[in-house]
Amino acid sequence: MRNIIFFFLVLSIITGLLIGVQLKNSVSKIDLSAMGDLDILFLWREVEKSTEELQKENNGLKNEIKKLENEISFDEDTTALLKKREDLKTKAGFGTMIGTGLVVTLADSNQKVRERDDPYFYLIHDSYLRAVVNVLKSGGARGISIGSERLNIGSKITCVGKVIMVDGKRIAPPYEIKAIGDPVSLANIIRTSSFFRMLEHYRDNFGIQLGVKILPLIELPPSQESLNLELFEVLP
Amino acid sequence: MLPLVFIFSILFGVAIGFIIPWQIPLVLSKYVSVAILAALDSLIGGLKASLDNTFNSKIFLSGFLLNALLAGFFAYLGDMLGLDLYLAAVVVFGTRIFQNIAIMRRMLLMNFNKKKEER
Amino acid sequence: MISKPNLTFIALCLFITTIFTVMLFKTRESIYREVGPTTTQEAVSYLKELNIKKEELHKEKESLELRKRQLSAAYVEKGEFIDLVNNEINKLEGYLGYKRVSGLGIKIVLESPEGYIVSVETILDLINDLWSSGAVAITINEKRVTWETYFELTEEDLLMNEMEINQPYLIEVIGPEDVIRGTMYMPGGFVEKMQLRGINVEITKNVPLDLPSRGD
Repeated sequence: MRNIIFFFLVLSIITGLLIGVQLKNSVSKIDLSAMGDLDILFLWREVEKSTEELQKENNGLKNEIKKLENEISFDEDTTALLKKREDLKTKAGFGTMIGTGLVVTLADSNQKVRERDDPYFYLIHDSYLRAVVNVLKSGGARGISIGSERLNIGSKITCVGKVIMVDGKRIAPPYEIKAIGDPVSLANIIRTSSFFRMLEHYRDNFGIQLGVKILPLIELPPSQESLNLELFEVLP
Repeated sequence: MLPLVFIFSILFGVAIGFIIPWQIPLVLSKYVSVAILAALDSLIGGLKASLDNTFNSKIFLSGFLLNALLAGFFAYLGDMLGLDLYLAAVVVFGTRIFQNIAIMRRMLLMNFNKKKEER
Repeated sequence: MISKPNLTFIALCLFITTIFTVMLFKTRESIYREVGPTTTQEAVSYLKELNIKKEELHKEKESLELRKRQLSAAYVEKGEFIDLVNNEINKLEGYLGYKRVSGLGIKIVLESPEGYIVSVETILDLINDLWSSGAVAITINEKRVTWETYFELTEEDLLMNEMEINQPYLIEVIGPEDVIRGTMYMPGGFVEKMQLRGINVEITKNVPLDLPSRGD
């Protein structure tokens, strides 16, 4: 009887050891390619959720810091200094900006793709958004946002499959590009821009949706990206 | 009477499931789906046993809970080991569900035929 | 046939199972409806981006928490605080292109042997890639790229802020060199795209750079 128990003990220890070793291997890093399709979708969702939460926490911290700084600012000089910094941040895209401007709306065509046509022409691509931003900047836009995301100097517009992302965040169509600046010069530049003429051509032939509207009051939120000012030195 | 109770409990379950605000956390969803399969197997096994007149509520309840938990746990263990252990649960429970359904169908048909002859 | 208590048991368990099934359905269904990656590969590349972003956010959180602790310490010296803010203003001015900046970075030279002009799309694509790999300052032919920078193509020239820029295009970037190089040489990345069009790309790493302000 004792022997049997002993055997069982030894066997279970060996099994446990094997499982433990294997667990250590596969838990330490997630092998993406070995996971099934759905698992990756799930993982992606989880990571996205936790990233959003992190973002919220950071925003909360930023607000607290602002409050503390305002409490500390002893005199007018300091307040002026803080305001100067805030203005610079807003220029770089990291502060709320309010003003007049216009909004450009782009959306995929809802026509059926005709035979012999390339479906490419029926969709809005990330390169279009980059080009629109370029045109708006040439019209003197001081602040731009795409969807809910404010652009900063170093913003990136990319895509994964058909999904367009701004600074790593998914943007849902229709794509609303809001720009703060002189509405007249912005509208002028849009009228004369060759890129917008191409978009109009696509609208007439393939049905992509394009709209431009002047808005009297636009409020752009600050960019959610982290502002990285390491890596370089400022020379006098 | 009998099918009515089941239909009613299913409808009630669907309603409650939609009304409560919780969802299964995504990471757990795979394990829960295997657990649900195990639970379904227990349920159909229970039905079969009650037709057989061998139904024992303790066996049924313990099987229902333990099978579900174990199946979920095995799926989890399999993921940790990098081995699709949940497939084992899917195959075993799937087969058993179909077997039990086939047996139940035969029994019910036989009962039905008997009643016809008696008449 | 089935006694009453047994029936209740089975019905109860069926009830519980259904609740869970519906909860599961709700979870899965919401995923399929969303705008998101539709294939595994997309999900993987999206996940990679998210992980980078998450790391950045973690870093930001740490520095923010440190800052908060410093500020909420019982006594903050005025001089120190003003120095800190001034330093930040200085850095921001460098970042915005009002001041000259220096740092380690890489040099990219673009040249088309036949003398083709690089299109606006290509230049925007390149700059987008550079920013996304963490660049902090960029110049093209020694002109600083800032928020106000825009490009146009006329019949024979590429214009940057209404000024001609000519071949060979020299792009200097301050930023994390390895990341930038990795992005450039990625399969399907910028270098590959340019080679397909017959444009030579030359990348030099580890260059101490001194980039002008936008006025210079």
